[in-house]
Amino acid sequence: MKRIALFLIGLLVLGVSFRPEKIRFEIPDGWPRPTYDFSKNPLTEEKAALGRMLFYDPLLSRNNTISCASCHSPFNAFAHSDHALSHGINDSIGSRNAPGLFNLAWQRSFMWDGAINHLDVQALAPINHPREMGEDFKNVIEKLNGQPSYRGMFYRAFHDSVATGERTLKSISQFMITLVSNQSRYDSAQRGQTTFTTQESNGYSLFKANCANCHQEPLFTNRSFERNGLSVDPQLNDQGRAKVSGDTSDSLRFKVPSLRNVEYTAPYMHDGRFKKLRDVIQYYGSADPASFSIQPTHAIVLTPNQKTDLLAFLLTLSDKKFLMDPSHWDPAMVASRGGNRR
Amino acid sequence: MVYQPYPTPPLIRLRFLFLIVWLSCTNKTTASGIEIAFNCTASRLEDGGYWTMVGTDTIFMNTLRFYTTDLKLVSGDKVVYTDSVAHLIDLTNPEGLHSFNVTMEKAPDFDAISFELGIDSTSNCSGALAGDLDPMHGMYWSWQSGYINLKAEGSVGSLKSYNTEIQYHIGGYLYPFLAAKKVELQTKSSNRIRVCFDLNRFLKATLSSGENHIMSPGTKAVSLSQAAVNAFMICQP
Ligand code: HEC
Ligand code: HEC
Repeated sequence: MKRIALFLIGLLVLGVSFRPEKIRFEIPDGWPRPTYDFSKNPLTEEKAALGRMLFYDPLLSRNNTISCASCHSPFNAFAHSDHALSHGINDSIGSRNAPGLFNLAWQRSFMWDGAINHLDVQALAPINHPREMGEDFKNVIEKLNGQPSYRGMFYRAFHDSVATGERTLKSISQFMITLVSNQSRYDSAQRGQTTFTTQESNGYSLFKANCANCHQEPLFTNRSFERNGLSVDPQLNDQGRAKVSGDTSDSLRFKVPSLRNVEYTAPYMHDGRFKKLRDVIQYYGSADPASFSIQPTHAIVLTPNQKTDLLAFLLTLSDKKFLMDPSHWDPAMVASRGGNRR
Repeated sequence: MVYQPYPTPPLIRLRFLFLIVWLSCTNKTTASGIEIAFNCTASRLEDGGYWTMVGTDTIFMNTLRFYTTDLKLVSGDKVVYTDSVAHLIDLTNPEGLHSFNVTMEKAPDFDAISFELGIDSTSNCSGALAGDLDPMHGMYWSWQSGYINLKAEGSVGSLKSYNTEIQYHIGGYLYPFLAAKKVELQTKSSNRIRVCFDLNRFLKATLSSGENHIMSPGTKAVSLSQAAVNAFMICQP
């Protein structure tokens, strides 16, 4: 009792202010309700700023060389360009392709096989993975507690300068949650602010007829695990969802990726087997629809012109504003350029 | 902890003042406490580990940690007290407490206690949690979501073979591989209950299954969890 009173008097003498700036999370028109439970982790400017700092900080890896952004670059809609399989600590090669990160508040589970059930615990996977960041999470927390600049940021975010696992993870989530991409040409056309070219609108029709049952609008994913007929890479022998569910009928099912920003997220598929979007369209044009988990009503037959139309439509999903938003970039880099909007 | 000072507007200072006055005026009623203390029935090693013999094998354990949740005090067929908080018990931490306290206004009479060995499905799907459930305690899988309910690691040295590692990370929250299980123990009312983990009994069961490494959810994890449940007993004070 006495200690509490003394402590409070101490605080009183020092004087403490704590007024977190709440962030309003806006749900774009016509989008479903987010799956992320904001009540357990209310968004604030301070927490999101801390999360952004952590996302770009190689301190999260064992030898302080790899940050989240090493594999998730803002200029590739947070995917990993050029690397079919992700490239981590000491040049080790992982077993899957790093996906883009955006609209995560709507996602039901994470990873190509849904092994992670909640965004908050996602960061543990790369941090602990020996071929990604190779670090012990407890050690990350110790390193954070040893850095005066982080103590200040934790204080501003949580009214307490101590870094804990929970606070660290929730902050990283907050930054990722703020990565919303809904400013593409497709979105403008939907809002009636622009109209598609003939080529784009032909492509849109082809898309709705052949692709949209899995890559459902407006998120461009049905948020489920499907089989799109790809053959197994015998070296990786990745069974996808079945490994997590233990159910053989889930064999070779993978998360249906969003196709938003697909222009920037090459290479494609869980193992990055296709380098170009053209290769992907070529693949679907020759795929056997009987091998799909959702049976199409007809085979996907595309003439060369139709392939180009479909490609033109996929390019309308590029959100340049999202890529060029400095509030998503490395805060250190933005500071050195003398501008920061968040 | 170091608190970083930031300037405060006067109104907030006033609020603290009120809080102090209020805290010093409220009268605390005296509460009763019950201590639940855990022990391991095996020979203790200097570093906090244990050793025991199973057949001709000598087994050294350097990690023995588990979660207990949902403590209940039971009288007849009635639950007279429930504490749903999760506690991480680390029997191999030489400094750590191997017990927790529950406080209540008046301690009831009871003739049995029960607790869950492990974490329920809801908590397993709730993202990052605080306190004993903070993933930084090393009781959370990283490559896939879920808590490790019980972690037991050590080595077996037998006359016939070289030392082999044993590593059990028992968990799983998805049907049908739910690993959390209830431990029920008869005991007399007391303000200190000593629960013992019979390491020898646990290892006899696990080693006879021939598995030295169980690191993911599944049928094996579920049966190991049952072996752990069977190893709990009330020990005499
Ligand atoms: C070495 C490269 C690498 C690093 C470093 C890395 N990631 Fe990833 N990330 C990946 C790969 C590869 C996947 C897909 C893995 C899978 O599906 O098994 C992924 C998946 C994800 C996903 C799931 C996205 C989805 O749509 O399911 C999120 C979220 C994510 N990473 C966030 C992070 C955060 C936060 C960090 C830093 C703490 C981080 N990543 C560090 C490579 C990396
Ligand atoms: C039966 C469901 C289904 C249908 C129909 C479908 N896809 Fe896919 N698509 C998937 C799945 C599942 C993946 C991920 C597969 C993997 O990684 O192994 C995927 C991956 C992709 C990717 C790679 C994205 C990335 O970031 O790696 C592109 C591009 C794509 N699909 C475009 C299309 C187009 C265009 C069509 C129509 C011609 C189409 N898809 C039809 C299920 C489907």
